[in-house]
Amino acid sequence: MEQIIEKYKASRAEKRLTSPLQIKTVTGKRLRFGILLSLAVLLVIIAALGNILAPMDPLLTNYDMTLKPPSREYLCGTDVLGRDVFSRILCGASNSFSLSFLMVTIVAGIGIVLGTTSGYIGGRFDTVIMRITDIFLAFPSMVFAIAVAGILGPGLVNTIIALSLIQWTKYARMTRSLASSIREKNYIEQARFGGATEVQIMFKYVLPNLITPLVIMATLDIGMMMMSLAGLSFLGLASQPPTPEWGYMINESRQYMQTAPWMMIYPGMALLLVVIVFNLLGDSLRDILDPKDND
Amino acid sequence: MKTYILKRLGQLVIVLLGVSFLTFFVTTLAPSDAAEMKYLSMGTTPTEELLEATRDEMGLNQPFLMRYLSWLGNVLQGDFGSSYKFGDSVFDQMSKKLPGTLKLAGTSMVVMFLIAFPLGITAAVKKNKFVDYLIRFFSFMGISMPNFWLALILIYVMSVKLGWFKVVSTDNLKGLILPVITLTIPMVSTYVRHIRGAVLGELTQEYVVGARARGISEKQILIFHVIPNAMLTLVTLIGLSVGHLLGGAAIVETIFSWHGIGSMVVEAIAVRDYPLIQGYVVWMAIIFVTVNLIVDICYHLLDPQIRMKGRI
Repeated sequence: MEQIIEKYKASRAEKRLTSPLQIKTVTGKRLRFGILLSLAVLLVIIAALGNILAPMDPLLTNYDMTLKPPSREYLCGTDVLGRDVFSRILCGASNSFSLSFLMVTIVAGIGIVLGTTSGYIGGRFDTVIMRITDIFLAFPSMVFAIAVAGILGPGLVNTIIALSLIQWTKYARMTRSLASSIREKNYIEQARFGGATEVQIMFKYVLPNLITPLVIMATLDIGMMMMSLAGLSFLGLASQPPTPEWGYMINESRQYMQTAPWMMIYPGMALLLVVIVFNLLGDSLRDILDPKDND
Repeated sequence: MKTYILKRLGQLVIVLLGVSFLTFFVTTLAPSDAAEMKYLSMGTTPTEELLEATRDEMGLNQPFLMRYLSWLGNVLQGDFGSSYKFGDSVFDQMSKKLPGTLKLAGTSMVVMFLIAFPLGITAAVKKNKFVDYLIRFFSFMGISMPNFWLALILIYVMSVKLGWFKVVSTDNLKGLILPVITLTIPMVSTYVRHIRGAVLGELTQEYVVGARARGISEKQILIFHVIPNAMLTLVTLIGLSVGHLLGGAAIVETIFSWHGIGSMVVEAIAVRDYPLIQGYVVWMAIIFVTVNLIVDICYHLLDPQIRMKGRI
């Protein structure tokens, strides 16, 4: 019995070692990551140049051209005020991207600072911070975001506050658990003997160890932030008209679904595309950087 | 077990106190004056003297902590104040709207499990085969798709193009179909991955290797050994999905004009009906935390490893 198991294990291990597929998948992963990264960079560039690339003024209304279907002049049709949907999608991209990047930065920043200090210092400070994260984690985030954005009143700043207030906890949790395990390591002890100050240790030895998991988390978070933002916009809580924003554009399209479905389809496709690219990028980043998860 | 439940109940109280404090605190940050909002939502423009009197009456001139404590005292007795918009008490409003949401959420949860489990198990068994890739592709699409857009596309295809459903949801079973699909797709997509992972984890356990060595067929191993063990994930998923359902309800109910607490709170936000929003948050927290407590207790009861740990 034992022998059979051992033999089975050995044969599997052998297969793992010699399989030419192994080498292939590593390069395959690199290649996939490369393609996705260039796609993501391309999307960011398009978003950054959105205002320049847009063939028309996204705010320009034209009452002779309302609710026109997609044509050569208006690639994605026009909306109820005769504005070019394609230009609005391009300009909306720069809003969506800059806001999502900004929010991920804010959230990760707060999370890292509170998480590392909490994990590194430990003690009562740690307990307080962790109980606070418990409160946030024990609660459906979208419910809270809607409530906070609703109470503070519609607007972009309030939405950023609402989403940031909720999302920092997962970063804090992760950095805290990593930091508290690093604290026990010998090299920290040695650095301390060598006369390094606590702040020096934090920056030189603790933070560099956190970067890999943080980058993965942040990449996966960008798509999610974009969706949450668009969701709040859709409810009329984030962007205010006439700013072009994908979620709000989809909201505006609801009434004209029967006559002008392009108003709804194209902004949604843009959002879907961006979220897919960033989610895939996050997944493939994890495949490359975090080999223990791989089979 | 008893100490565990007591400990969890203690944590639950702390979490609920925290949520109530946060909700109240955020409300005080709100830019508009609650007394003024109360009159405006009733359609009258109050004079400054009237406003001052109302502020006194509502206790708005007291210090923050005093106001919180008196609010908390009322909340503990089930009194969340009365809604500015609907006029009746928040408690009545919530209990009137809650059944709609529960009906929607409950159906979605059942449908979710009926679809996600077979798919997850299939994907795990056929790992790296075509079926697995297909399931993973659709699960990935489902995760990346914003639910409000999915809802509109469903309405467009099913109601506008095909004419199978009315655009506005009716209260009967047929009206339930589109909202349930909208809520279910993202959840199925997320949980198929969990289930696949759980089944794959079981499949690499030594007892499976042992069973194979004893000559037991793959099918029997799967049905009698692997699936029962992977069923524990079902319990975890119930806890996770409650949050998703409650959060998703706001958007989905609004789009399909479904009468539930989700669409109610969106209306309440539009007119700054603070008592109703506060009531909503606290009720949601109570539901979410209670369900998760029950889930954790079930988990303890079902998993012999966790159950025995205390005794050995």
